[in-house]
Amino acid sequence: MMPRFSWPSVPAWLHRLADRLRARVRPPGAQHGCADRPAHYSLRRRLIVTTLLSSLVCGLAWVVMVMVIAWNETSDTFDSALEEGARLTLSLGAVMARDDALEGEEDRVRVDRADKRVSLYYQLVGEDGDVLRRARGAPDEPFVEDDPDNDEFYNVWADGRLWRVYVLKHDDLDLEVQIGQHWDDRNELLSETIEELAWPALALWLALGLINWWVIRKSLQPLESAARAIAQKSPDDLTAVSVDGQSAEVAAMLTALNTVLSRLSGALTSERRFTADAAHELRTPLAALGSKIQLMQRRYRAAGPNDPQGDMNTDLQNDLQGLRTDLARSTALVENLLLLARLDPQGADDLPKERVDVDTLLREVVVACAPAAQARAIRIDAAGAEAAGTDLCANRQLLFSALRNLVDNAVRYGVEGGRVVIEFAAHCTAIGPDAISYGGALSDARIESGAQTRTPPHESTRASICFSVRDDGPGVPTAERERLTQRFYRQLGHQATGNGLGLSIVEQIVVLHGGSLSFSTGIDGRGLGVHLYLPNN
Amino acid sequence: MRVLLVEDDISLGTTIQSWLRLDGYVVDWVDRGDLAETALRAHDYQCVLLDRGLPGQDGDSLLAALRARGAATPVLMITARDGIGDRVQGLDLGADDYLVKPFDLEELSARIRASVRRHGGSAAATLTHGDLTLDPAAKRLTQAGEPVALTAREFAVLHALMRRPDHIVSRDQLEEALYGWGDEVESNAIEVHIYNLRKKLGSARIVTVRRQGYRLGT
Repeated sequence: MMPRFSWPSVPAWLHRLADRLRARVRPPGAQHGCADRPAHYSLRRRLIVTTLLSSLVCGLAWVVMVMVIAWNETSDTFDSALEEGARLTLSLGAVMARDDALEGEEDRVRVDRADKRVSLYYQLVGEDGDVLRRARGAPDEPFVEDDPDNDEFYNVWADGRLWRVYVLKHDDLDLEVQIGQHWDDRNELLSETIEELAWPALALWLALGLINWWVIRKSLQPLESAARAIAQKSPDDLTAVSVDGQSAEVAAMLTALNTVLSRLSGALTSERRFTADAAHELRTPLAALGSKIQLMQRRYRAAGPNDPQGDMNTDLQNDLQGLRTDLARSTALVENLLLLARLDPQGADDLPKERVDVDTLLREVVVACAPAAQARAIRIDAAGAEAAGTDLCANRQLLFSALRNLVDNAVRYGVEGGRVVIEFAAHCTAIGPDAISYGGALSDARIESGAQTRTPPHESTRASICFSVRDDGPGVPTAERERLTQRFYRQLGHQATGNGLGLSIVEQIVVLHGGSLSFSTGIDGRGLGVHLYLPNN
Repeated sequence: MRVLLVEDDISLGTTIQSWLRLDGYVVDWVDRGDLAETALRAHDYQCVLLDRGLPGQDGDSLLAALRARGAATPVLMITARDGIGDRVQGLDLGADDYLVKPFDLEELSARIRASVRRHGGSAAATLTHGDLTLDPAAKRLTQAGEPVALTAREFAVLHALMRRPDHIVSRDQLEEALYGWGDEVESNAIEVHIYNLRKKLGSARIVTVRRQGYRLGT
């Protein structure tokens, strides 16, 4: 994970900053469902950390190199100074030896060493290895005993300190000079240099970090705006994502995405157009066919009870009537396809809505479905005292279609001689699969009907109005209920005629109104209950 | 009564033509917009059934041109386009009614009768003149409550006269209303129908206006 820093407060600080930034730029809606999603690394954090770390490593390496070079150079200089000092001391010592003034305690060279950077300590060593004369502060024993080599450097411990020592022997006299310098002097110089370099380097490194952070942040912002723009795409809006202000790399990706989007949009459009065109083009042949049948019915109508061809004509009439019924089914299918194709691209926003009086609407639905119900001796009850005087904002035609579809289905798949109940509740509180909780008149009906309330009410419960259509027919097994809204889905084993588009259309209409659809058991624990929720606005 | 049917689908066209002939209309059928334009200039139609999508010239521009000429002929649009916008556009162009395919032929007949009726300035479903009552839908004529048996052509002649009771209808106009393209017309056919009608209804019912035509008597 995070590499260790030499400065321990940096990663924590960076972590916090990165976390705060991530939280701020995360697109709305991305919060939920995050827990089970695999964690992604942050490109921003990775970039900032790697640039900072690499610049730190390179900076340190550079400092080390500078130090090594500086060390070598200064060592050479100091060593030359030692050599030079040795030569001077030796020639001076030779002169003093000739004058026999070599031996003695005092140091002739009086130097105040306090403010000197470079201090050299000499020893003039005689033939038996005695120190004949030495500088003040130099040890009284020779730095290097046991006959050291001429013209050679030594590192020696003496008086508890480390010395750099140069040994020079006189060519003729038996005299040598050992001249030494404290290693500490040299080290001090080096550590001073390091100190002077360290602070500017640290400041530079911080500046680099800030610049990097800012540049990376700026560079990644378009990526986040692009992500937001892409997240807003939906089947209704597949327009190209803007590449303005994007870097070349992101622009290339977005251009590729836009190509895919435009292909997808083209495919969706042509699918919709195909459905619409096909349905549209089918209308004329269907009209021709229907008209022909009607013309035949008129031509071969029995002239009267004494018509010699009366019986034959009656049979023909029956066949033709059957043909017309079949044709009516095909026509209904085509009309439904056309309706679906037309509903799909229509966004919920530009759906024309008006105030719809619920009572009138329910009455109209019952009237429209009455003939089919009478044919199967099914009683339709429109319950719901709240319906009187209540109105809602919806597309009247579509809502009528939806309710009519539901009631038609209930009648078609209900049991002969049974019952269909249409209910309305102005305040029901829960939207969710099979989770119904009415605030109004329907609460008793719910308990009586035994509607499933497996799921506890969802958190995002909002006030809504609810239409319910329930029957006491054979119903639909729970497992199959969610397939009910699929196009062309028809339950097996049903003799009733239908085209399997009804509930799919109802769902489409409900979704366009911002509502939802759910299923439960119907009346008295039998049959199917369909609940249509619309937002209460 | 003469009706112009403009429909490019051959099968649907022939069927509607046959159906309307059973209704007693003279039906001219064209399958191209430009031919319809020619027919409209050449003849006086009581009703036009117009498909919107047509080869040659589309139904919309045909209707616009017709209305621009000041012709008030009732026009029924027959179309597969059923969007609200399409309907509004069609009606605003000057159509009197709008039928979406597939439609019921009985409904088509009823809508033609309604359009023609409204065009004649009457809202009632039957035409009345004195003690004569003519029901175009049932093809029935009653005189003082008693039904009178008429042939289809006699009915058509009387219908043409009763549609505008105070107007003089010329012999040519009556021929136009009775015979379509390709029908053989005897030179004295109209006179024969008038003679028969006078015999059935009384000679004073139909007055001959010299060199101009016929009108209803009192």
